[in-house]
Amino acid sequence: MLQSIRDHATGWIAWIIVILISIPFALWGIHEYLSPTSNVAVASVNGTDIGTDQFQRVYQRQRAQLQSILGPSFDINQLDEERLREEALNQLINDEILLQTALVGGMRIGDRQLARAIQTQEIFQESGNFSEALYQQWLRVQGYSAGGFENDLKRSLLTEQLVAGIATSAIVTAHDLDNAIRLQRQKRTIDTLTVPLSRFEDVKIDEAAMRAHYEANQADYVAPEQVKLKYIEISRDAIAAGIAVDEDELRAVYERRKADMQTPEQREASHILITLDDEADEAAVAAARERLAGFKQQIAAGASFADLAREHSQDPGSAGQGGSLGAFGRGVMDPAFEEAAFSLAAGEVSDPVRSAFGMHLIRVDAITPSKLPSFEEVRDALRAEYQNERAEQRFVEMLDIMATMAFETPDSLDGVAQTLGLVPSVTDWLSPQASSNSGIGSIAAVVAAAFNPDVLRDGFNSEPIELDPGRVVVVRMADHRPASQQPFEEVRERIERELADREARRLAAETGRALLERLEAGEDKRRVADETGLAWSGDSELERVSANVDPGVRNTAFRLARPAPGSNAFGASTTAGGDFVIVDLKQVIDGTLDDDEQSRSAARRQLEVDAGRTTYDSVVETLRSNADVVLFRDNL
Amino acid sequence: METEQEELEALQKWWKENGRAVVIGLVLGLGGVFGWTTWQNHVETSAEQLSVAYQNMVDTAARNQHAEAVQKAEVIIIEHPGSEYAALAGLLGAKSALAAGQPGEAKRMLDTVIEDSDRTELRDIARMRKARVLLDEGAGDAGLAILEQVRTTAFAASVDELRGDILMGGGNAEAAAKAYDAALASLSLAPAMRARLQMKRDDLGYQKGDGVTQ
Repeated sequence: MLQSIRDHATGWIAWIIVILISIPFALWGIHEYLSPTSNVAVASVNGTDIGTDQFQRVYQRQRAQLQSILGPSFDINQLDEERLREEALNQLINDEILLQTALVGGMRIGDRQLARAIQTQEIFQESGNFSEALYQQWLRVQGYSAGGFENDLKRSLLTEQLVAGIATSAIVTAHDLDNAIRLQRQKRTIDTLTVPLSRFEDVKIDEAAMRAHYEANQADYVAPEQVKLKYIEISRDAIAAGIAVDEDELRAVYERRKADMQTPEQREASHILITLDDEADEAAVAAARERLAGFKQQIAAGASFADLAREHSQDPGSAGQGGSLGAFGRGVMDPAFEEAAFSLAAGEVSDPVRSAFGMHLIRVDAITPSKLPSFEEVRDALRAEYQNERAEQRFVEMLDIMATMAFETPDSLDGVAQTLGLVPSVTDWLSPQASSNSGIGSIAAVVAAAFNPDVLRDGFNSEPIELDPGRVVVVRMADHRPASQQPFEEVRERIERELADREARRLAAETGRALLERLEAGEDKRRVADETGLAWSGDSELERVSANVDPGVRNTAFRLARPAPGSNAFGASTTAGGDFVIVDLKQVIDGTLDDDEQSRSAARRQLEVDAGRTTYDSVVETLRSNADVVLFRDNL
Repeated sequence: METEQEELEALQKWWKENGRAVVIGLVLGLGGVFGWTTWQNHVETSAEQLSVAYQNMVDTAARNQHAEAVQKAEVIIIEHPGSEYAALAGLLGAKSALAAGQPGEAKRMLDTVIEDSDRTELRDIARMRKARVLLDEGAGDAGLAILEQVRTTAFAASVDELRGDILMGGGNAEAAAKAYDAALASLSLAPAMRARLQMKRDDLGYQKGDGVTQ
């Protein structure tokens, strides 16, 4: 060993060794921006791996966000999982590219800057100050280590800096804004001439044409595969209705719960307040007491309490209402106030009362006494509650039995039906399209189960399917009808309808186009309409967002070139209903918002956001096309 | 085989011959490491300080204190020309300047980005925004000339839209319509941008045969 050092280690080799040792030291410092990835990579961006844990975090967060946007009733599993994953991965890669761009460009976030960003987060603050305890608690709940979170935050702060410079900086000039408002708020005045489809509704279609259409389009006339299902249903409501109720037991429940059912006493009161703070001296208190005692005498002598309150009360909330505070129960008001208010009779005026707010003169306006509903009044509600409670238990038991037995004897429902005392039902023919079915077949989950190979091919029982909370079924196939060609006779009427509609549309458009040509050639508007037995309907003023007009007509109106003053611009559109509508654009009124500063700045913000978004997307696109991105889809 | 004694002697001899080199190597190497880390620390620290200054400017702009934001951007641009932060500050500062009613200052800020930044896409962003300001000032032709220099292909649709806006502002509806059509032909437009472009295009009207009559 020593021999070999002597043989090879001359001066310059020693140098190299030392320099090699120094390299790791030199690269110190950059590591803190790199995410630690101890796991499998889903992608690599310019040689930096993105790990599955990072991917999962972003994917789960995006799912949760989507769920909160779409609402709790939306089944997020309906969405294309593959696409969601793809989007999450894209997001991660774009973030990584932006981050690398920032780092290469010399952008950094220092520790103090990071600390400040954490300390100014509102969720970590308690009464305006940063709370270490709240921060640590939040980290635990989110499943973050402090280092992991701070690393992520650093990355997102850097990205935000880039976004501020690239996107938030988007410029919208006065010219841009005026132009956008001019177009967005533009109004257009049109006349319309409608060639209605109904004019041609009695077109005759001959038998040969129908047959030819049938032969040429056989694939359109195939009845879909259908099934009939045998099923048993357990329903909480049905169970509840069947539970016998003992009258004595209901009475016992009533007795037991009397205290809860009693509505507490409520009082309506008015007051006149002379405010006093806590340190008010004896003299001030005495003066207030004196003043209120004076008011009391005036009231006794016939003065109106409400007028006095309006004039003298220093409670801004109630003075305007003649001192009225409305109805309240115990435990709401200041204790001294409450004691006085609840000891007066209706209409009686109190002596001056001292509370934390000051000195009050109180009058009770009305008393709603405490009330206990009679047994008869609450009997039905108690009965329902009693039944529901027991039904819930029974429902869970039955569900358990149903799930177990339907699984253990997969080729029959009779056993489980017998055990549960239920009678199986059979549905009508169901197609794979839930919306065209009736009964339980109209529920997507039932159809999905029915056409699942387990049920359809193997003839097994389905798993329990929840129709709505408290209603569960298990289904199995009772009968099956494969897809089949429908004979001509069966679809003859349908074909006749389809062909007649198509022909009518063609005739309406043909008639309309001929009219349009005459109009464009300069013939008189009214005469053209009269000769055809039609009439112009006129002068509707449209906005881009007008909903009371066919969208095709509206779009046509907004796509026509502006007519020269006094002349016309004609266009046409076919409505969804098949009417052919000729549009005569008469006037274009450009939008303005000159005097509405608020709407102007809202419009400006929207334009800025859109422009910033476009710039940002383009920058990401550019950076990405220059980056070396490798995807490991198998690891997704 | 050499004995222990011989081996020791050989080592001493080797040390005599090479000892100086090893010591110098160590000193230079360690010195290099120390110098390098010190330099790195300095770079990191000044980058972090610059970051704080930039963040401060961003926050000021977000509070709509336009004139102040412009001043802060100015300081960053002057003290760290050519840096990424200077380019970003220039872009954001231009917006503040415009909001403060100083279009000249805005153009000057954008010019610093165009001249100093080594990132093509940032230079092109600045060019497009300068063209917008020029259009607003009624100098659309100068704007068109600047747009000629935009190289980033991802901005092609935005450039076409802007070109359409400028041509439209100059009253050349036919050329504007062509520019908008070119922008609309791009396949990857965001829905909001497509809707806006279509609105601008539709307002210019379609010639017979453009397909407006169904």
